[in-house]
Amino acid sequence: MLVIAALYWRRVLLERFSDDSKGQGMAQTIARRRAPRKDPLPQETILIGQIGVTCKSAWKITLTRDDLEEWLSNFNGEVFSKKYERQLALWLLLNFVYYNKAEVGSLCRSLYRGFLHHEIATSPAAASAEIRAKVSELMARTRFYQLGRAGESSGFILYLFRNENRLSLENFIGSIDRVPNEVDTIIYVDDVCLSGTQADKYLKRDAKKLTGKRRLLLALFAPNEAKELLARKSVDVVSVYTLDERSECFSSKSDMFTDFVAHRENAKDLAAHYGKRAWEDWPLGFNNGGYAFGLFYNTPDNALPIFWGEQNGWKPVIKRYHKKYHGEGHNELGAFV
Amino acid sequence: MNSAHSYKNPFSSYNANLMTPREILDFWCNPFFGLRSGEVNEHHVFNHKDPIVFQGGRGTGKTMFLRYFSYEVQAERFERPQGSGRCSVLDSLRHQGAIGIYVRLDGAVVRDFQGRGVSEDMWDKIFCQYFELDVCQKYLEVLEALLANGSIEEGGTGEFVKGAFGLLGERWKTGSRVADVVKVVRRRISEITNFRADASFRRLEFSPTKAFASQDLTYGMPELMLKSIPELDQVRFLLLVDEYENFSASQQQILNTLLKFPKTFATFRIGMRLEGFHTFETISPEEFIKRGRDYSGVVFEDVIIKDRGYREFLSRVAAKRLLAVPLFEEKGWSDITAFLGKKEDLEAEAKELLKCQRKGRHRHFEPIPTHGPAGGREEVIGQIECRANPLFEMLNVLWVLRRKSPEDTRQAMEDYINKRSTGAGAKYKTDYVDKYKLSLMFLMASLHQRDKLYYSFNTFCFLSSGIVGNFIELCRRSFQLAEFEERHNLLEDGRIAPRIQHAAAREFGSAELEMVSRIREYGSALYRFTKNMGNSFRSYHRDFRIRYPETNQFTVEMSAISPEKYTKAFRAAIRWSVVQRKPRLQGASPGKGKGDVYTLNRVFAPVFQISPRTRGGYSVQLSVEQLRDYMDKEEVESPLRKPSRAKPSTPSLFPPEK
Amino acid sequence: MDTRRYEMTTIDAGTGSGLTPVDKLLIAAGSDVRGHRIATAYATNKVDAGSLLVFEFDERTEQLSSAEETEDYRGYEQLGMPVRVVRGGIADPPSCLKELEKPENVLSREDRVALDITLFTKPYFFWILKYLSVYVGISNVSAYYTEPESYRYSAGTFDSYQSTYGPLHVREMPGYPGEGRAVGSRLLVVLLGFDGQLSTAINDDVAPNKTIVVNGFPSYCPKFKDISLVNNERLVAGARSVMYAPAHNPFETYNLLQHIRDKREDAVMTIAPLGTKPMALGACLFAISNEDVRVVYPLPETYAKKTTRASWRSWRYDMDVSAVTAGG
Repeated sequence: MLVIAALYWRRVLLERFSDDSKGQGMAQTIARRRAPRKDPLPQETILIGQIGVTCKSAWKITLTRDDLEEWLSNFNGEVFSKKYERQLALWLLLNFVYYNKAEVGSLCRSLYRGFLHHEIATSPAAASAEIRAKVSELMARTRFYQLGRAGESSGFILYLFRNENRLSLENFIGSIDRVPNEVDTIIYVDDVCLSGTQADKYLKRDAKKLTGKRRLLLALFAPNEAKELLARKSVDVVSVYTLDERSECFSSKSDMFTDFVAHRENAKDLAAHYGKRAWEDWPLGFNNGGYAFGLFYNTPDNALPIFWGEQNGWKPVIKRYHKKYHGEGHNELGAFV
Repeated sequence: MNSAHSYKNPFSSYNANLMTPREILDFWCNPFFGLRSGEVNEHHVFNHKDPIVFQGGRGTGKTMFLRYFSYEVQAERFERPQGSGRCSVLDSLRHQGAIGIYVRLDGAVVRDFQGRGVSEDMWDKIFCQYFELDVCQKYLEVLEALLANGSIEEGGTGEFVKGAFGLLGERWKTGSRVADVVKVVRRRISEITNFRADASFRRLEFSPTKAFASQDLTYGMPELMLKSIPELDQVRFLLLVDEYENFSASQQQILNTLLKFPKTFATFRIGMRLEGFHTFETISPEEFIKRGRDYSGVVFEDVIIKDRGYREFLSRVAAKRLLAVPLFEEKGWSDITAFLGKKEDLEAEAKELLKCQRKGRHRHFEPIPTHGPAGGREEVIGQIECRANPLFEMLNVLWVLRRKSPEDTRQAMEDYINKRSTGAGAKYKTDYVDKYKLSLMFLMASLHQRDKLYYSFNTFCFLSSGIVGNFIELCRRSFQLAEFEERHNLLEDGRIAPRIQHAAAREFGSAELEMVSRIREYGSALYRFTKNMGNSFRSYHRDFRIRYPETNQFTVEMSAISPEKYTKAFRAAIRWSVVQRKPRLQGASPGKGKGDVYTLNRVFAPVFQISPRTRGGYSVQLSVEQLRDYMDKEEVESPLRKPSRAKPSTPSLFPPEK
Repeated sequence: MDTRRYEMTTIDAGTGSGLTPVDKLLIAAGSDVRGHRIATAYATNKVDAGSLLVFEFDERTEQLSSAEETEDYRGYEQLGMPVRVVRGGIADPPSCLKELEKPENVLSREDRVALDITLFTKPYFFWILKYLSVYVGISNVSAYYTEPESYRYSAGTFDSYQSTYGPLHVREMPGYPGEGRAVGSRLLVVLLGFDGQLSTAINDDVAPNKTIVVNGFPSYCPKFKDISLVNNERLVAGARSVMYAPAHNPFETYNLLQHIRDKREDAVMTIAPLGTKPMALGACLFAISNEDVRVVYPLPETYAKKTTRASWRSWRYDMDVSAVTAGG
């Protein structure tokens, strides 16, 4: 009996220690933390049910139970118990904000309207006719332009922006090399401007060609920090959403954990640990963004990589098309071309 | 075809008020089809001279039913080609028997005729004015439609227009047309609406251009139409008044007077919730309306829950909806029983339940004492086990508890399995097939601390409790869950797993239970009542001796309930279909005298884990004190919650609540 | 159609920036921390608020269960402003008419009036605004609103949000019965809130031919736009379309309602403003200038005591009601 028991435990221990690449070890196994007893997270079945309804009613995407299970299989109990890890992951996913096509269109309309209000608000025009004239005059001397390089999401958003607001092609330029003299305002349009540094880079690049012209940036999402940064460079930012600490998953004001404060740090540890696998460079999203949102056409890299990462065999639940700045940009050529 | 794009939930959007006339026709299934003779049919509804009151719970299909008989829907029907040749719409309606005028005042409007410093009497007069004008407007709408489709010549309406102006107290001008009459009516209605708006901000007297008493326009307008428009000769009108329960008692007095005195050319078809009459009085103190004498009554649930007829009705309702989905139409999938399964497979369900139990496979044997007259538990298990069918095991446990020896029990089981003609085998068959099978499943699930599943077309029919809206909602939720959980099975194989159907049923039951607390005035009391009653029934289902199999009905002496607030609360429970009265007076239990027997709405069955079907048999007899307790207290001790006769070493008979 | 510039300003409670001098500031008493934020900002920054007209409701006073709550409720007494109290029933706005007509409370058309809608129920501020614009004759009203930092979900998941308890009575908002026209296509426009039971009750009661659902989007907080859709899942599934209006912008809500109206001129329109209060404010403006539009609301037996936490941004909306009534 003793021999059998010893052999049994030998096997258990060997299995535990055999795969060091996953970082599993006795120390980690013992250190696997427990879920807090106070304010437990909702049960897995409830979370899955809610995600199902969210996909159908709000996100308008087809995410099946199988897709969900595939993603959850990533979480195999390395930090907490498997059950708790699944709950945490599902809670994060339930609080993810996905903008479907209609909503992005609506954001584009809101952005344009926000821009008009921004311009008219400081104008002395009061009577209806004066306001209409002011808008016409504004549009005549304004051109919309993409922020960044050709092929980036700004171009896509610019297209949606034009269509949703039924703007004329005349109001758009493809290049800032020959901007007409009567145009005194260039409006950059982009989807996400989180840190402001990337926008600043592109704006600096264009600055020489736009001397004397006013520049504005319209962004669907921008936090105050980015707005302040660009304001110092004389670029006003109009955004639909001014992201604040409530949108950062793990900030003290995070909207995600107001009722489950005890789970916030655990969720962060989970996201950081597995994020390292999903995207080695920034486990919590680019620049430690720690966001949980995506748009129908792409997910920003500031969002937690556990949602969208694909490195090291990680199975994503939300798609992201990563930018390739250099190198061959084609998919596998296949047997035939 | 891309299945993703050609699929939508066939059971979403089923509110009859939202449907166009075309949709009403497309989805129409006569709920009284397949009834025994003498019951309600279309001819009867169109032609019966006296008022008919259709009563039914929320979702039973009253609005769909009434709207079907309205002019808009019938005109749509007759505008479709009907065989060879075409009559005018008017001729078709005349031949059918009557033109239906659908009247519905929403609750928000009806409830606005009160308060703001205006006396109740005055509000009643204003309401009467409003109702008369509203119905008048509806008559005129139909008249305009008949003009538009050429059934009536504009030139022939001169005399009518002149008369209508007189009736409305407006000066007639040469050249006035029907459209001008409509404008006058609108102005008269605006006087009331403006009064209602202004009275919120200052003290006002209501002074209309002309006051209308009851019948002035309700009967006056159609009478004028028939007298002065030649094409309307011999036409009759049906006033289809929906949601009668929205009217207050004093408002119903006014309308009851109309019901009491129908005309040959105009009568009523009323749609209302159960117990929707707040009064049977009329505006004359000594007059009241009485069922049978002044109107005939039809209760939807009573008439349509008739086994085969109801099932067929639901099946047809489902078929139409399934075929409206391009994907299903393409595949010819119109049979809901293929998706849900025809009925439960309890044996398979029991096996599946045990499969999921990694430990404790023998939990359903635990009611057997560890050391009993028949021997030790393990020894007994060895004798009565039957892995091929856990339900046999459960029945065997029951027999042993009823002091049958394990050997005899086994023998009886084997006789039954091998179809031997023995007394014991016959008794075993009776117990298993006729008496206890479903009860055994409930008991087994409870002993294993799992849910008994609710699934299959048959079960959904029961759960819907005669309310077609409930059936549709059960299906809607099932299809919705299946689309997420097992999309491939739904769209490629056309089936929905029992666990998914059960999740939908459970979800719906819980949602409906929450809605009980929202019932006007009595919500909280009825919520407590439902929970206590449901838990009481649950305790019967967990009785390991199954002394009262599938107990899910109760009796209470309505006339003895006091104080009045409890009677009113109980009536509200019936009105809102929280509680349903069984169709016929029956014995409260075998051998007991006849009385009213009630059930909880079956939709709650999955929440309380009780049988959804009608067994008859034992009814819990609620005393008035118990009824009060059930309504007042958060938790009442269930009647069977008492210590078992088994020794202390046996586990609790009532597993802890999840 | 005339186009006006709208004024919508964020308030800095610390510095008083964004506050404008008024003759009367109307607030509703309540123990919610947001309730007196604006009045306190006026007092602290010494911006002239004239006098404070405080609306007190017995139903709220009865719910006070601690000294702290009572202190918060009566916080307005410590502001050092002249205070007049108007008492009424929370479910019956016209009940305060008698008090408003008292000489010491009466408002005149020359008064500069501000209304902090934060703690008023929607039927109440709808009634007050119509009273001010149509019956008192005031043409400019500033409306203040303070957003909550977050919402409370009793069981943690979004679908456990509940703002009311007990039975719901769907009522027309006093003063907004619409045209009373019974014929024509019945159109219901629901501005979605978090409580799905409210929208179901309204849809069942009004029984429209068509329902348009308007989601507050962009929402205060990104996730809110999903919560309203999920919690109103049944209505959303049955509605023919979902439209959007910014949750914090009454003027764009007005624009959307106008757009809906223009596309369906023959429809009899009913609005159910179940969404944010700024959206409801837009609906109120729209209904005041379109008298044939009906507004309905589900009145509960009891309002939930606390549905939000803390405060976030405060806004001032300058409303020119007289211009709006000129067929705008």
